[in-house]
Amino acid sequence: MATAMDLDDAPAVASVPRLQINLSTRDPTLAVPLQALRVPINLKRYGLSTLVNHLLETPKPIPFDFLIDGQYLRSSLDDYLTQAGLSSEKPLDVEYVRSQLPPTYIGSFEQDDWISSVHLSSSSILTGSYDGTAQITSLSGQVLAKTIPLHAQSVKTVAWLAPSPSADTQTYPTSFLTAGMDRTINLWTYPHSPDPPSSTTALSATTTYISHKSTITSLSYSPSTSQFLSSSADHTVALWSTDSSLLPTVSAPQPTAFSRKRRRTTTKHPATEKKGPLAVLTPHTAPVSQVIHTADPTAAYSVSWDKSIVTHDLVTAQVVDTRLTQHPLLPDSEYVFASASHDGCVRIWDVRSVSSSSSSSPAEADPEGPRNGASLFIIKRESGAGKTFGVDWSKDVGLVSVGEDKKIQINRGEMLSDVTILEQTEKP
Amino acid sequence: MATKAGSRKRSRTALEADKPVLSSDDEFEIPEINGHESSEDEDGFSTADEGSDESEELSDAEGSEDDDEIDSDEIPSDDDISHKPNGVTNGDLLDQEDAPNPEDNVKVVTGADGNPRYIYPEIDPVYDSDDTDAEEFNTIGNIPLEYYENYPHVGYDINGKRIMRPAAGKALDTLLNSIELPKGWTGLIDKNSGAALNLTEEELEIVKKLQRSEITEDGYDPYPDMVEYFTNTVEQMPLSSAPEPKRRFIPSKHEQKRVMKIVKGIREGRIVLRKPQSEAADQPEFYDIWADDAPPKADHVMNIPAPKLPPPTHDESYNPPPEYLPNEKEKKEWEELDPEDREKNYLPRSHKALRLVPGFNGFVNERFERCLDLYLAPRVRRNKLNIDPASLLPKLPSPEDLKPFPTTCAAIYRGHEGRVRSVSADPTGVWVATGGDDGTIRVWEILTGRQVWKLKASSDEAVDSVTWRPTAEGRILAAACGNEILLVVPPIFDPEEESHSKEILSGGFGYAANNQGGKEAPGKWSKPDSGLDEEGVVVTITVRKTVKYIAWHRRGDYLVTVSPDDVRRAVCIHRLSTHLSQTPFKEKSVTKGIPQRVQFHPSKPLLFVATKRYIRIYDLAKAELSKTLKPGARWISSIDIHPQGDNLIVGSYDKRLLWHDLDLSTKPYRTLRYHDKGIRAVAFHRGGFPLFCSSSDDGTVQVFHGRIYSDLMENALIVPLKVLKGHRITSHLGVLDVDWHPKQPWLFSAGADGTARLWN
Repeated sequence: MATAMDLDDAPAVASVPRLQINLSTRDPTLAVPLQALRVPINLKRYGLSTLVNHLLETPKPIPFDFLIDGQYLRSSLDDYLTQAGLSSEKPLDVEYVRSQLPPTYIGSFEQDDWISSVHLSSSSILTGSYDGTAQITSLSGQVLAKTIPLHAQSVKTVAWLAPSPSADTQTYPTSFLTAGMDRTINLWTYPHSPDPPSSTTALSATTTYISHKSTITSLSYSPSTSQFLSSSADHTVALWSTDSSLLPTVSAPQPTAFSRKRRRTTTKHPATEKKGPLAVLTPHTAPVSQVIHTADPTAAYSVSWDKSIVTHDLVTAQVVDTRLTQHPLLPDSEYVFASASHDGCVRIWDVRSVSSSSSSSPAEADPEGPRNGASLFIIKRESGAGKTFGVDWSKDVGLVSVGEDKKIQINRGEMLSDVTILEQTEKP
Repeated sequence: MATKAGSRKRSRTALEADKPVLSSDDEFEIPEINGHESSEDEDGFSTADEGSDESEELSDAEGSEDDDEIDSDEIPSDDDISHKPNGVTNGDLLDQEDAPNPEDNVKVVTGADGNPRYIYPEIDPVYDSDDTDAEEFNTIGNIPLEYYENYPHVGYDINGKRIMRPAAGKALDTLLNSIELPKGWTGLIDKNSGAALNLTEEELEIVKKLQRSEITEDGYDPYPDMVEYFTNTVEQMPLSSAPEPKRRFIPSKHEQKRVMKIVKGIREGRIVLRKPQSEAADQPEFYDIWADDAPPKADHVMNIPAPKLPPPTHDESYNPPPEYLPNEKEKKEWEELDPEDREKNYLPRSHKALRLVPGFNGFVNERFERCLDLYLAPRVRRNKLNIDPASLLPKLPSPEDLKPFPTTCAAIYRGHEGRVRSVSADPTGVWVATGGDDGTIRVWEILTGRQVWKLKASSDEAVDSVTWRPTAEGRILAAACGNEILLVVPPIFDPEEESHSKEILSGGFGYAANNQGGKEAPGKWSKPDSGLDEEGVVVTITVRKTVKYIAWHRRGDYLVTVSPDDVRRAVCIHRLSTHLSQTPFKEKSVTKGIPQRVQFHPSKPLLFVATKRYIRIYDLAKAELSKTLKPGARWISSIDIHPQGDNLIVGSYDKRLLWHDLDLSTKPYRTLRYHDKGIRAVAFHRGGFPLFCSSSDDGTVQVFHGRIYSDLMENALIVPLKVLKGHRITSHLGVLDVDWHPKQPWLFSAGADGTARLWN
């Protein structure tokens, strides 16, 4: 203990008063034995980080960040005490986490039209565009495949049918879903090949899912049950299965006279299988902005413009719980999430850093209670203004965001190991 | 005085005599004692009187009856003694008169009928009883003499004998009489004698005086010379020759009595004299004539302090700075001015030392003027109001408490070339439609700002108004483009909904074909040409002049349009189900002015027509004008009706936003002047939020909280919430139209800068 102190402190500041701190962490791999430490009061983040590294005896120093009472330590301990009006006599509880550096800009790939949504697999980026197509881009920016314009209107959301993560081998998703303003969901098959093809392949849809009466806003796929959910602006959430035999066959709605005329101008697309939903949930009274599965695949949350979060039991298609809030939110087991906002920024939030005072900055609600937190980092669009419509993160690719500027932007940060994704739709 | 005292005494004895007969009889049995008693009584009375006098003097009371008695100097007079026998004799006399003795003069005889009969004594034929000089007297009473014309007599005297008519004269006499009227001739006939009634000169004089309503007495002077008995001029000689009474020369006993009484009281200590005021102690020895202020007077309404004079300035100094000294020209000017017109009554002069300053020659004059001012100028006491200015401000809730309301621009809808004229959110709350000067109608996705549909309605005409049909089913967009009204079903909806909407629109075609009247209809309903047909336009209605505004009825079957240029058919109501158009006001004179906006009442069959200055409310069921609102604005630009229907907001080009309570008055309940330029559009939120807004040419949209209470006694609460800035001002035009999201507290605005914006 004393040696550690000697290591940290220069002799010049030996007379500085000391403060007792209790170090703790939620990461079991980084836990230090519980002991009371007396540290100089003018210690900053770097000093504390060196101290923890010394305690852990790590071969390579890990940068740490320190949370005191839900706030990141950004100055010295002394300053924090003065700001919080605390006495240096009392022991201070300090939680340490791995430090996260702001993600760095890697590059961006441009497309023809606004990009509405993004979903990542391990090796490719699936984006949906407002021109009614979806395309798969490799990490190097090469367009691997593009869907035929089966969607009469914009694609609003896309989702890989990712295989279950429990599979041991590295598998690639072979199919994906797209949905958009034309009220249909299409299932596409993408023959994944390890070698990038020389030219862009045109993909055809295999199945069309028809139920919604208005724009489909989001899709959520659960690999364990092979079911997926869709939310729509017609206030409904529909439950579907990728197994077509489970779904009833429906006929496509008869196009009206002038939409028939409009169709005639475009090329004839190959016919797809038309399927109806397993169940339609109608818990909301306003357009549903997003639906997502919980960790348990038999339950799902949906958020809506009517300011409510509804928990669904997917087995019985019943509403379990309805909570009213002011913001859509997605609880998760992880601590950090990213959000895309229409103000043209991607924000990375840490739900551990919450302050009870309401801040004026755009804030996300925290799962435990209606508290506001400040965002950890803000990633601006490199192209300047424009709304950000979607964001996704994967370990291999980094933080990918798409938006009104027709670009896919990739940011990558070190140590962003536990970032999960939240797409902030809109503040109701 | 003596006579007065005597009369009092007499009246007192008379009072005693008025007592019941029995007691008087008792008294008369011992008349001597009675007289004595009465004198005793008098003494006793006087002593009691004295006692009371004494007490009254002590209490300083005055004006009582006894004082009056004392003043009359009556008590110690000698007359009392002389009066006493008088009183007794008077009493005797009275007794004789009042108690008649029936046996004295009248004999009572029992008459033939058995009743007593009084026989009075024979009257002595003295002078008074003689009536022989009484004139002969006609007894016929008040009967016209004409009744006796045929008889020789004219009546009867008191003895019943006929009074004969005097002999009528000869005809010659009559003639002579008629020629020469005798003196005193009246033309009347004396009733008593039947002869002509002639009046003497004196009698005629009396009659004349009576006619002039004067006093008939002879020699009466109505205006005698005034004898001034009571004047300030001291008469040298006494007015009456009565000798001075003896009393005036001898000391008054009564006075002595009273003085002695007071002396006695002082001696006994009953009367305490006032302490002599020690004047020396109260008044200060010296007055401080240099004291600044007079001692403060008691606070009283009538005591108004004199206003203070302004403090002396530099030029009143004995040695003012040189710039204050007048030069020769100013001096001359000052001297030439009339003293009344001079601004100040002195010329600044410089002296080397204060002791060299001469006396001010106008001092007395100035003081006098000041006193005159204070005396003549009316002064009013003004009570200072001790009111906290903050308490006078209306207590409005803070905007923070009235959330949610739009605060920031959330989306910008770019694409229009030229101004965006109109904006409308669709009833499902997912799409928003705009119409602009480039002749296009565009539909946008609300949140992302993505244009999902566009229709080029015209190449040269602007789209002035777009409005969604406000019903749950049937997605129909009405747009005004030039003199055409397009009813459009944008192909962005579910095919089922789309076909249903089209059915609603095209259902009236057959009906219209059957009703081809001879008269020219105000609007021509037709199918659009093929180009527009494919784009989603189902029906076009063609009217004569440019349509500026469209409003839907709440059920969606009627829509009303305004074309201000059309003098005769400015307001036109169109019915979807029958494809018929009609003009509710045939003549221009009915609407009295150029209509600017029209609006249906949200629940009643009322139509609001806003002309430049007035808003007229027509009852469509009774087809009559039910009310005229006078907002007082010079040029109304827009109106909107609260969804509950009892309140109305009016925007005007003279920067005013007016809130009308239809139950209260035809004058606005509240006037809001917050915009710098004319107001273009106003809108109430219809989805349950108590919000309304106004948009102006100053490029801002202002959001207000407007809560209406169900309690009729409580007035609406209006709180300004937020000024939304963002639209650029393009050629003096700012925000041209606003609309609210049907459910959320979101606001859409259409600007002249070619963008529409979403605020939330």
